[in-house]
Amino acid sequence: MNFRKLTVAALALAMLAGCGSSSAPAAPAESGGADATADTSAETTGGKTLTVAITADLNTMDYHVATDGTSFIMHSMCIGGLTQLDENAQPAPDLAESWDVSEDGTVYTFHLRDGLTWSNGTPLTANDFVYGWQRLVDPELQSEYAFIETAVGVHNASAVFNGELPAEELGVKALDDKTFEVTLDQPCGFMLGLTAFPSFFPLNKEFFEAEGDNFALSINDMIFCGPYVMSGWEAGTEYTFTKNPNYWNAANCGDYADEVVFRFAPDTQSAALAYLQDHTLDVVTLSGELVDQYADTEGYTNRLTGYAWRLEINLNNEALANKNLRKALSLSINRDSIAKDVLKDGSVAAEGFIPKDFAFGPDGKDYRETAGNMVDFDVEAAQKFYADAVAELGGDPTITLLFEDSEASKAVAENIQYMWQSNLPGITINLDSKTKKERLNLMNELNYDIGLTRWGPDYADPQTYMDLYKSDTDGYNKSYFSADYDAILNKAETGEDAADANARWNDMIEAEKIVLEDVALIPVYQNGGAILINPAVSGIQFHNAGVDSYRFVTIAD
Amino acid sequence: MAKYITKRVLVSILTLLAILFVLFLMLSLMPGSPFNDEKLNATQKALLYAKYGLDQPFFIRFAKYVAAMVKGDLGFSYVINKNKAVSEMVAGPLMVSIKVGAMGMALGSVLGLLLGIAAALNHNTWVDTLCSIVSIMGVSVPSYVFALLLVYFVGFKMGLIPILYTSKNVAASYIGPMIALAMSPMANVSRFTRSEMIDVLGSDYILLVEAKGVRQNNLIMKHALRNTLIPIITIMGPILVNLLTGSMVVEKVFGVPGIGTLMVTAIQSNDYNVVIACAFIYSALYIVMMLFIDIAYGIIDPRIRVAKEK
Repeated sequence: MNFRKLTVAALALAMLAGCGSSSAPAAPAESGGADATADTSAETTGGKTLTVAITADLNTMDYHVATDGTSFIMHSMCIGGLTQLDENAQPAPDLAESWDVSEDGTVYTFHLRDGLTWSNGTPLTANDFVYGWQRLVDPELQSEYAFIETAVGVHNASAVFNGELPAEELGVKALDDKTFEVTLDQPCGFMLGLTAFPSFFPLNKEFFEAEGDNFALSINDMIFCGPYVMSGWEAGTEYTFTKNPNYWNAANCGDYADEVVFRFAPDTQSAALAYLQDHTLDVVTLSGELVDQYADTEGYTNRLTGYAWRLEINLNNEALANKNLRKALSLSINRDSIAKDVLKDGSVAAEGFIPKDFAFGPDGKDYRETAGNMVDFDVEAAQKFYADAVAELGGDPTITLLFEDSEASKAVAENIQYMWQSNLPGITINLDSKTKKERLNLMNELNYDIGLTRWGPDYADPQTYMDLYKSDTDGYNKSYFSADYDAILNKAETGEDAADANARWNDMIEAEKIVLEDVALIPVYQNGGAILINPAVSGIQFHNAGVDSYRFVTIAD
Repeated sequence: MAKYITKRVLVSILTLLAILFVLFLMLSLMPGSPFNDEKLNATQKALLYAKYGLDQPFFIRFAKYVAAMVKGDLGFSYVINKNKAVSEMVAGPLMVSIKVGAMGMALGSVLGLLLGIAAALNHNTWVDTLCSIVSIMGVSVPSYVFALLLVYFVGFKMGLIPILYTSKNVAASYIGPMIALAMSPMANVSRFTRSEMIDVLGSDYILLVEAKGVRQNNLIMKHALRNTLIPIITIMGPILVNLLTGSMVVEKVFGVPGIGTLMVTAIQSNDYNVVIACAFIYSALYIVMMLFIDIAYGIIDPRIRVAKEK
């Protein structure tokens, strides 16, 4: 049967051809892909490119409405602030070359550098900062990050945001083109760190108004003033940044990467393989099981993040209203084991509500170092408290532990359940897994018993955490109310200690003691991160409070 | 024929409307909102809801959405690509997905046909067994497993295809996803082709054709294959669904900026308008394909057209 042999041969051929020629029909796609790239100059000049994998896509380049880390990182590539963070997370001059602070600490006068310009040639003046700061609290805009200007205590920020006062009444003004003055309601120790944050970046009024609704929706609808300009925006794929020749310090940026590409790689496994394959990706953040799998890979690095995970307790729950029970729960968690045996990604056991390595006191020491360890693992003590609790409650309690359905949260919750049930015989712990959004919703409605949750710092000060449990903190729905806690924080933030950095710092420590003594929450761990970084790359700055910086990256040959 | 097509088109439009309604309803019932970030307070949330019209009753929102949609306005994104028109956001990814999907479908169908014919002609021989093994694997192994295998072996170990989609070499970037997506259509088509072909080859009219002395090539191509194709077209619909759902994961593995990746991101961030647009596009693609298949039937087999017209 000739035909049979023929078909088999044809089939074999077709299969080969099918694979080999498959690129042919795709060819025309090259021109019709996603959004066009404006410039790939680094390729033509043979410059050095840093490629960073991002697991969350860019949300917006409009730095006054952004809320996510990925977006903030890209903003600080191409826009400059009054200050920028250095490798020690300390504020250093950027667009402002110097500043004066009034004696009472409430008036900051920033002196901008000579000859600052936007990438379109427009001069950059103090008015651009005034306009940017006003826009952040514009009630029309409803920026989710407007609160940060209120937290700093910029004069009238809340009133403007609530629509009670016009934008002109905000405590910012341009004394002249090169002098920008900010008036605060009370001194703010973390002010200069925050001026490096994208929410406080300048905005040119004329350009913005000409753009209207299109502002920051594509690279042609933006102007830049940072060390890089955004030169490619391919939605869902790549975001390219190339050197900005108009940056004030361009002359000294020659050694840094010519091009920085942020590559959206939703699948970490593929991204890690691309890292291994000649460093197609230079920086890949690992998660889940991959952390273990790649721990021996060259370039594996651990970092600590500012995210502090804790168990939030609903004090409206009858059993959990019992302080002895809460103490027993806190004392029976082996935090070290959770960080080192369960997570294994560089996470560390929590020593209190406030994480370490993100806020530094007036003496330059880490907050945690000064405050010391405030949580213990002591099964014997826990069992004593538990016995008291059972007597007071008239029986063993049943509690549901709510957590989100991420790999890490699930592992941590299961281990806590095990620790509680084995260390406190008699207690019943149920697990409840929900999506993150739903978990937040349930917790906000106080429709839970105990929830595993986290908080990341918005600025380098314990206040960013402390305010969560203040009675008058709007919106954050909680079941804990303490007059002592409120009083001491009010004294520190706006009262008699506000101007005294040392007294304020001690107040913060006292406040933390109160909230932990009351066991309004149970600290668990501070999140670590596992990252693969091409060994040839150096100069990436990871900031626990504030935005990671890829501005000063050098790549060895 | 015209009457038949008009009726089918009208039914399709109604189906799409119903799908839109269900999508809307499901998203309203879904827990959470685009704005339940930990850092937002209640007042801000209320203001954001008002700003985007999410505070209005369900039916009003639905009516407004449909009215705007008719004009091509799919609303704005709340989270991903904040404030960008959704219609602009989905256009690029949609084209990418259609390209990859169509290539996968085409490659899979052609290979499937060849495999099926080969198996049928070599019924009960090793060729048949081999083809069966291939198609069983194709049916039972999900496309993302193939995607992972391709990434690891062909991409990473052999370095033949890019591991991650790159705009610098789009053509090469499509190869991996295309092959991964082709597996399931290939397997399904080959199984059906094989059994249909065996049936057809055993039928009386083929015996007649053979008796008339028609050459074998002609017999296969002109007489047997044409009758085999009709039932195969029926399974194209379900195959397409498989392909669409598979594309979400395959796109993620290769980092292809397609509509599947966009939809997954949108669902995770409760970006209502984007989720609705993507899901709607998926449904529309499916319904339009079914419509084409129905019409193609009529063309391939005049009996169906005539019967339906009566």
